[in-house]
Amino acid sequence: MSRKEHDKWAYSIPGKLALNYIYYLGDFNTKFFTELRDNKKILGVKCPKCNRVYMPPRPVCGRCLSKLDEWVELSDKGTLLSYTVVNYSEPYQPAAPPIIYGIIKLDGADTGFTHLLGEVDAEKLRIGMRVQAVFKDKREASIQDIKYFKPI
Amino acid sequence: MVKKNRNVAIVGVGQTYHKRRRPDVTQVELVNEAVRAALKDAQLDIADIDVVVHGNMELFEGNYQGDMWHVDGDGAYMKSGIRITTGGTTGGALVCATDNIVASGLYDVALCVGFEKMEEGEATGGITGMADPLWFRWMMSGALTGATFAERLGALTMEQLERLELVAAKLRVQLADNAVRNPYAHLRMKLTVDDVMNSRLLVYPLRLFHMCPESSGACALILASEEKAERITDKPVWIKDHVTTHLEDFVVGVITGTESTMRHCARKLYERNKITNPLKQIDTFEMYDPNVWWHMDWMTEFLFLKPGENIEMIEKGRTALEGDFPINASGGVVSTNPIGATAMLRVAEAALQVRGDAGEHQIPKEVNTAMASSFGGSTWTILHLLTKEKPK
Amino acid sequence: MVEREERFIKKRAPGTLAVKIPLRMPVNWPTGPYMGKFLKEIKENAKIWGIKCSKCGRIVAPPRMVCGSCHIVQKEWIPLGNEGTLLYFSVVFQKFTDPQTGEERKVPYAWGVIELDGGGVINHYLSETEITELLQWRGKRVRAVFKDKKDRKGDFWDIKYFTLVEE
Repeated sequence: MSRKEHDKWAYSIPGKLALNYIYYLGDFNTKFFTELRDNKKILGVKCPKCNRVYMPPRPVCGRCLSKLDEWVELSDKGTLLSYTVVNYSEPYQPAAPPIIYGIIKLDGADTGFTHLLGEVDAEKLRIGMRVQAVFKDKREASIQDIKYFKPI
Repeated sequence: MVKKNRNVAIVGVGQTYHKRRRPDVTQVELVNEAVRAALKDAQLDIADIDVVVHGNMELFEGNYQGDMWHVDGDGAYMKSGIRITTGGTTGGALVCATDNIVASGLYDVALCVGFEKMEEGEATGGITGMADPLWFRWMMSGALTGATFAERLGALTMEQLERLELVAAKLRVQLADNAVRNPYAHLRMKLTVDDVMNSRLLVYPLRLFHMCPESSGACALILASEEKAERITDKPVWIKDHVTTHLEDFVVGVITGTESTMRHCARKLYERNKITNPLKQIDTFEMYDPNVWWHMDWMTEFLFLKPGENIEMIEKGRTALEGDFPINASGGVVSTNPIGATAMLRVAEAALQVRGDAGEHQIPKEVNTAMASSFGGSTWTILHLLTKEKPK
Repeated sequence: MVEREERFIKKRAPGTLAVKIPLRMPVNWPTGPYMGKFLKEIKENAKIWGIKCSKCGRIVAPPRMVCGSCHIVQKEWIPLGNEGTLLYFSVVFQKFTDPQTGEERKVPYAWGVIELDGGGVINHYLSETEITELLQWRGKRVRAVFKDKKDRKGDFWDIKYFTLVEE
């Protein structure tokens, strides 16, 4: 078909891909999220072989394949390893832009994890800053039970 | 004449106990269970594995690039890896790819893992997503189908259809009896012919007990090169050959017009491996049978039977555990179907039969050659040929 | 997150949690020129066309740009007419989520495989869902029933269904 014919016939039909999913936390992950919800406690898990504390916790150590069950209570304070500012708007975002994502290494953990930063202007952020978790009053066993991390 | 660079054997087999739901674990832990089982079976450590090949049909869990998340569970940390996702044939394609990788000489010991956590998504809705959204998606009902079943099996009158339904029910009961002897199988039920024939209609003439379940589970295989395999185990199961055949999807009329991919694939496999009498030269067949109607239909296609011979074979019990050509000693896909793992389970179960390790569902006669099939999408087919004797 | 007190969680994993995440992804499905022409002919003229492979002679409807076995671009359009013979039918009883809508698809529904007089085979809904009736329809003549022109939008639903041609 020529370009002209192509443009004459081709068009688009709006539709969607819609399916319902449900994810099971299982015994292991339920513990992490219920501690967040019920006690405002952040847990990590330690691999005794690699001597690493993982946060977020995971049931198996990726490096040595050991099963992990040594829970460690972490501080709600940590160090900012990196950050980025999102200025554009899209559906499925956790907040309205400008959104600041940070990688935070909590005291006691050997890994960083991603969360939001709040109560701060982006220009004031510095790598290495000390930050602290701010919890929501109404919590639902979600990672968003922590509202954001604020500088201290 | 095509030839591998070097022989490849299955040295480790692992699978989970397949169930309808696994709310006690996440996908990572499910994958890890199978990987651990395979490593234990091969008496290897994760450090001995050079490359990890991972696969599933992600639309069922709704999370993409699951191989990244599952690095924790499948031991792929800082190892080479590939992700394969080819619909229902995923498990079989995983074995093909892993076999190719090891045969190439690039890697010596490889782990492949396929899984599905079906309860996290919707099976029928998900599979329907395979069809063209502008036309057939409005009609397709997942893997549930019934059109052409009776016609392809030669049942043109009501009497013929009734006889066919009876044989289908007998076949289902036979497979259920096999599954009861397989501790890993999902549906392990004591079924009667009446139970099957009175079960509710899904899509005419397909009934509930004709059809496979939705299962959650994982399967892992460890493949090794010839030299390593003989050091790792004294019972290596050699992958002699594998053939894949595709067709255009959902072109209506192709169902009736052309040769099936099953027949085409079997012909290629037999030609390449000098098999002229499959019923005699192959000892057992693990067929990917999503429902008993297709099981009967594809017996003819894979084994080049005469019209009606498939029905006769089932009526005479020739495909039962103690028969002369046992099909699906494990219970088959109608008993267990964690889609991303299912095709790999066919290879795994065939390997167990060759090794003599299938326990209560081990077929009584000696198994030197086993065949395993995979099915997916709109009639894609893969066939694997496994042997006890090392191929020359 | 949702704490689901379902039977199976209580039995298999008491005290654990589950979270529901529905996928609702808006998509603009492109027709391409071949499907576009096919749908437009139905919308404007209530005519069903197929495409014929100049090498193997296979006629396909809805059309495809390339014949899978011959690997050549298709150019020959064939009018198939709106009547034909019902080859096979399928009646669906099982409820499931329709990925096109996110809602449960209404059951029972029946669709058929029809060989149109012009030579191509097409599939679409049937107006009948009773199995005993449909078993009689096999091999008989059926015809397409279209929506009124003003209601046609250039999609699958412009044909309402195929129904038995009255003797």
